Amino acid sequence: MGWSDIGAAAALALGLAFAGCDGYPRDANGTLGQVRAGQRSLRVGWSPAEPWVRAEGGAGDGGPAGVEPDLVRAWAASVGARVEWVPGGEAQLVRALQRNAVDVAIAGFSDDAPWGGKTGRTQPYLKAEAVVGAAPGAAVPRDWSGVEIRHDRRRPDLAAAIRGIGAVPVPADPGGMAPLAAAYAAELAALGLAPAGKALTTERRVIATAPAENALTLALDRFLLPRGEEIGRRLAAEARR
Amino acid sequence: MRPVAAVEFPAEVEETYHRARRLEWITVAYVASAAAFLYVTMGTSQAMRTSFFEDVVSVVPALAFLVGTSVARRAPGPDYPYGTHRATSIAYLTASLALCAMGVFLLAEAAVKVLSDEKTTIGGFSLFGHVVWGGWPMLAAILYSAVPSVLLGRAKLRLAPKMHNKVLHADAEMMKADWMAEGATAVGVVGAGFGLWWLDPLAAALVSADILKDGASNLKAAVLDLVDRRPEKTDQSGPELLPDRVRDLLRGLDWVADAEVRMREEGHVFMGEAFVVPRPGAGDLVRELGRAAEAAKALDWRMHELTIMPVERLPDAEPR
Repeated sequence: MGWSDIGAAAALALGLAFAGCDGYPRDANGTLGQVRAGQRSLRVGWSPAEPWVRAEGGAGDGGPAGVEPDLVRAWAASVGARVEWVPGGEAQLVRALQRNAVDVAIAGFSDDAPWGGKTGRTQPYLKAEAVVGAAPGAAVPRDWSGVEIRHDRRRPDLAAAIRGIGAVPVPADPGGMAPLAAAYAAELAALGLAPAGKALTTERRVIATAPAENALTLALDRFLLPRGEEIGRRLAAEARR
Repeated sequence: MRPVAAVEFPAEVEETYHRARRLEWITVAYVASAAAFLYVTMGTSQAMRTSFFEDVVSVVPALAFLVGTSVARRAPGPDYPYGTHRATSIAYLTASLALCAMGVFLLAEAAVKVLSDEKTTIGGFSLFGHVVWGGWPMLAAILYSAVPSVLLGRAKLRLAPKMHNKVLHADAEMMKADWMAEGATAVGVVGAGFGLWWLDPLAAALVSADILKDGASNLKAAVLDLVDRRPEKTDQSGPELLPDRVRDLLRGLDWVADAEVRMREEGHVFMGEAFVVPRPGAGDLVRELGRAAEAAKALDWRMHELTIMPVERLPDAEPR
């Protein structure tokens, strides 16, 4: 080993020791520290995306309802941050995130969203599997092409998944899902359906964050990842509405 | 027609070849595991992504060695009267082209990342039920990808000149220098953790430039080999002295008035022609020519085939 190697190793070790100190990783714009200290509120952008984010029936704080808004509320409360809700379209929210005009955005994002590396994002907090369910006694076809499959009319992404297997999507209300319907696996029982043995898609849900806000993203991950089961139960409850 | 000699390596070099072969198989297995480690930890870091691709492309020289050298060792036959020594050079050309292409691709990617205003974010990473900062597993993967690489590179670097294999030499040099690229990647990751997001694509660009530089210098050496440049040392540090030694040997024979040698590399071995001007009254010329060729081959195992041609005067265009 030459001197240059030893020097490089020493520099790396020093960097690591330094990095091990408190306050690492850091946010490029200090978001987590500011909202924790109450210097400003956490600006949360939202866009409706059933069943993750719903426009109506929020907690009376001017924000939306659903799985993701409630997760953000719970996290903000746990770090003592105020939430300021910012409604917008998905593309508008992404642009706002890029320029730190909002801190966090929820719009039913998954980890394969076309926004790629333009924003930061949490680790997938839930693996949501969309499947076909059958009502009791309903005949399950062997060949799905041309078969009519119902889906919640507020979820166009499920219609796309149904077309993906060659079947015909039929928009319906949550009460009228028989005989065959597409839904997330966690929701089937609540909708009175049993698995029909046909998987549609698997989405890994994430929450988008402003880019380079490492501490903020890590704090959200620390909150979200241990709560996977709880979030799955919450998703089932959403289906009963 | 009798093809040229069948044996690629003498016994002691054959042993080196088998050791090098074993090291290259270890390299392939190790690089595959390091690339997998980098892949599962890389997240959205451009430097990590570049490091991953660097690992993937670094199996190419190892594979080029394994395939090229085993083809080169095939015995000459009626269809391949000169043997297939050049397979090594073709493998070398392929490996260096792969490096160039990957370098350009990754450099462009790093530039696009900066221009499109993408900033690296490194959040959490789920590790055995715990959430840790994603940078820590990245740094572990970088360390795993750097240290054994340097050791393997050093081991291979010792073997390359013994068998005069330039693919092995280039491969060893790259692995030995890998710690610099991995160090740059580590700086990118640690920097991103401080919110210095621009350090990540910058590190990526440095690593890509390094890959491109390796590719370009090896491409040059491979092409010069294939256009029959005079033999060069394994580490490209200068002309090989064997042609001069053969010429001096021939000039030293008492029946030779003057001699010139023209030689080229074919993979591991050298082939060439010698022109000798016999002194008046030289004895049994046919027997002397045969003896001289054997003596030249005895100088070095790489002197694979030497055709000696008696001439009245040496060719004008001063060859070497």
